[in-house]
Amino acid sequence: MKLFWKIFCASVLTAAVLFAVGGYMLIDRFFSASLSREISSACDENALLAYSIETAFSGTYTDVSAVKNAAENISHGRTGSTTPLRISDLSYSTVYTSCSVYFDISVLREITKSRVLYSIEHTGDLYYIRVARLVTAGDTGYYLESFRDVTDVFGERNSELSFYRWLTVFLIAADGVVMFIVSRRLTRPITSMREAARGLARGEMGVRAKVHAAPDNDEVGGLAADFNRMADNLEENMSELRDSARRQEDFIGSFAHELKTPLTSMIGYADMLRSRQLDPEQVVMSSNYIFQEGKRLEALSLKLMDLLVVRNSEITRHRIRTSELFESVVSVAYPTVLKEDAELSVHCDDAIVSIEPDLMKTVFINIIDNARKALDKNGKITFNGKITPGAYVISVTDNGRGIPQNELDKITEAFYMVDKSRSRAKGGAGLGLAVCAEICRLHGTKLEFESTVGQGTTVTVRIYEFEELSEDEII
Amino acid sequence: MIKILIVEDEVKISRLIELNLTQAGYACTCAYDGETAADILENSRFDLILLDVMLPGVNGFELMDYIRPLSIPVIFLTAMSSVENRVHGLRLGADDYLTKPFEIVELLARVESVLRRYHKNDAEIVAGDLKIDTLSRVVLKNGVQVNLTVKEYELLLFFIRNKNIALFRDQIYSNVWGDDYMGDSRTVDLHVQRLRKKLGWEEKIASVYKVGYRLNL
Repeated sequence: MKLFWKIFCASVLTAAVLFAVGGYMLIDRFFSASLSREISSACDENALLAYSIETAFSGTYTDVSAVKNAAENISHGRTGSTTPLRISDLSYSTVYTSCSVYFDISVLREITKSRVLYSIEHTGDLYYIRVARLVTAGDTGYYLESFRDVTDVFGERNSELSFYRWLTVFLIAADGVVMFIVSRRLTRPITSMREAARGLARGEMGVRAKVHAAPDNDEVGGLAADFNRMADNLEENMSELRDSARRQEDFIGSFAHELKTPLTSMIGYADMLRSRQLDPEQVVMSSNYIFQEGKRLEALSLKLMDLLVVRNSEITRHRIRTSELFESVVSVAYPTVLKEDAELSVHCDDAIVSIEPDLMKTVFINIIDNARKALDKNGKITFNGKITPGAYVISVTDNGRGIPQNELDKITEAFYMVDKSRSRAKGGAGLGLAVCAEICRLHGTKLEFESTVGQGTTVTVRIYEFEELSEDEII
Repeated sequence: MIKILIVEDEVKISRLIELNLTQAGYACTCAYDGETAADILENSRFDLILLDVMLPGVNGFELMDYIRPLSIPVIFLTAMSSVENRVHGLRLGADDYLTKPFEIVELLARVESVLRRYHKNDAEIVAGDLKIDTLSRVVLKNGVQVNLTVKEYELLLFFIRNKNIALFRDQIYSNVWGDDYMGDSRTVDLHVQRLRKKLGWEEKIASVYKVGYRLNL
C-alpha cells in the first residue's frame, strides 16, 4: 500500500470513529439530562396526585366508586395537559383509568408502602414514564399510577442522531478532501525523490527530485534538497572517476604502443641477425637499429621513472636567485636551440624565488625543448622572467606551429603528442609535459598555455613564493 | 609477382617488413601515413595491404573504409593487442591481425595464409630441382614423383617458404605440428632426416649448429 493511501485512510478512519463516538456521547448526555428532568417532574406530579387523593379521603370510609369519582375529579380538574392515571386496588384490579393504552400491571407487586417505582414504558411509537406508588384512602390502600408522555424527548434524540449521522458523513467527506490534499502534498516530494532514486539506480545521472517547499521549514522538502545535493556530488565523483579511468586507459594504451614500437624493431632485426645470412652492410644497419631502439627504450624508462618519482615525492624548497636559475637553464637549452638555427632571447628580472631548483630547471629545459620542436624556419624563442604583484612570472614564447585549442587541455597527459609522427622523429616519448605539470603541481602552481595555430605558443608558470632583492643585494 | 603495400609510420619497422617480404619474393611498396597510402592505392593495384592502426593523420581503422570497396585483403599491424581491438579490426573487414612485436616467421606465415585464402599464391612452386603442385599436393623431383607423408610435405613447404632463413627447432615444431615445442623432442630431427633422404637434399637442408636447420637455395 502506498504511503499516500496509508496516511489518507488512517486519518479519515480515525476522524470517522472519533466523530461518531464523540457525537453519540454528546447527544446521549443531553438526552439523559432531559430524561432525568422528566422523571423528577413525573415523580413530583405523582406525589401531588397522591397527596390530593389522600387528603380527599383521609379518615373516611371509601368505596370503590367514590375513589373513582375522586380520581375523575382530580384528573379532569387539572387543566392543560391531562396526565393519564390508573388506580388499582390491592388485588390489582383497575378501579379507574384515564389511559388510552394498556400498561402491564404486574410491576405493582414490587411496590411497598415506602417504595415509589418508576419505569420507562414503550408502547407503539409512544414513550411514557410510569410512576407508581401506594396511597392510603380511608382504611384501605390503592395503587396510583401516573403516566407522563416523554415521546418528545426520545423523538428529539432520534432526530438529533439522524441529523448527526448526516453531519458525520459530511464531515468525513470534508476531512477526506482535506486529507487527500494534505497527504498528496506530503508524499509528493517522496514520490519525486523515489523516481529520482530509481533514475540514479538506472544510471541516469542527470535526474533530480523536484523541491516543492522551501528547504528550511519542511523536513521532507529539505530531504529532497539534500538528496539532490547528494546526487550532484555523486555525479561529480562519477564523472571524475570515469575521467580518471579514461586517462588510465589512455595511459596504458599509449604505454603499450610506446613500449612495443621499439620492441618490434629490436626483436625483428635481432631475429633477422640470428636467422639470416646478411651482408655486412645489413648487419651494421640491423645492429644499429637495435642499438637506437634500445636507447629509445632506455630514455622512455628513465622518463617514466622520473614521472613516478616526482609523483610520489615531496619537495624541499631552496631560496635561489632567478638570474642563477635562468643561467643554468640557458646553458643546457642553448646548444640544442642553436642546432635548429633558431634564436633564443632571454630577459630576467632578478629576484629570489623559493623552489626546488633542479626540478624547476627540468621544467624550463623541457618547455624550451618543446618550443624548439615546434619551430619552423626563422624560429625565435623568448625566455622571460618578470616580477608582478603577487607572483614571479616565467614565460616561454615561441613563434612555431602552435597547438590547436581542443588539444590544449590534453597535452599534459602522459604520452599525449599533438603531432605523433613528428614528435617521435624529433625524439620525444610524450612524457615531458606530464613530468613538468607534476613538478608544477608540487610547487603549488600550474602550467598555463596560450596558443594560436600558426603563430606560436606561450607557456607561463607563476611562482608565488618570491621576494624582491633588497638594495644591498643588487650588485 | 605478388605486390604488397606496407602502411607503417615507423621507418624502422617498415624497412624490417619490406626487407623480409622482398627476400621471400614479394614486391613491396611503403607508405608512412594514411593519406599517402590512399594516394598510392588510387594509382596502383595491390594483392595485400599490411596496415598499421596508429598512424598520424588518418588512422588504420579509418583507412579501412577507403580500402574495403577495393576488396584488397588486409592484415592489421598493431601494438594494441586487446581482444576488443582485434575484434574491431576484424569487423571492419580485415583478414588477419598481427600484434607487435612479431617474429619474421609469423609475419611470413600470416601473409602466406591470407594470400592462399584469396588464391593469389602460385599453385605451382618451383624450388631447386623440385616442382610442387600445391593443389594436388604432388611433389616431383626432376619429373619423378616423390612420396611424402603429410608432415613431411608440410615441413617441406615450411622450409621453402622460409628459404635461406635459419629455422629454430621450436619454430619448426610450432609451425608444422601446431603445438608448443617441449624442448626434448626428436620429432623435428627425425622428420628432417627422412625428408633429406627422400629428396636427396642432404646438402641443401643444412644443419645450423645449436639452432636447427636452414634451406639453402
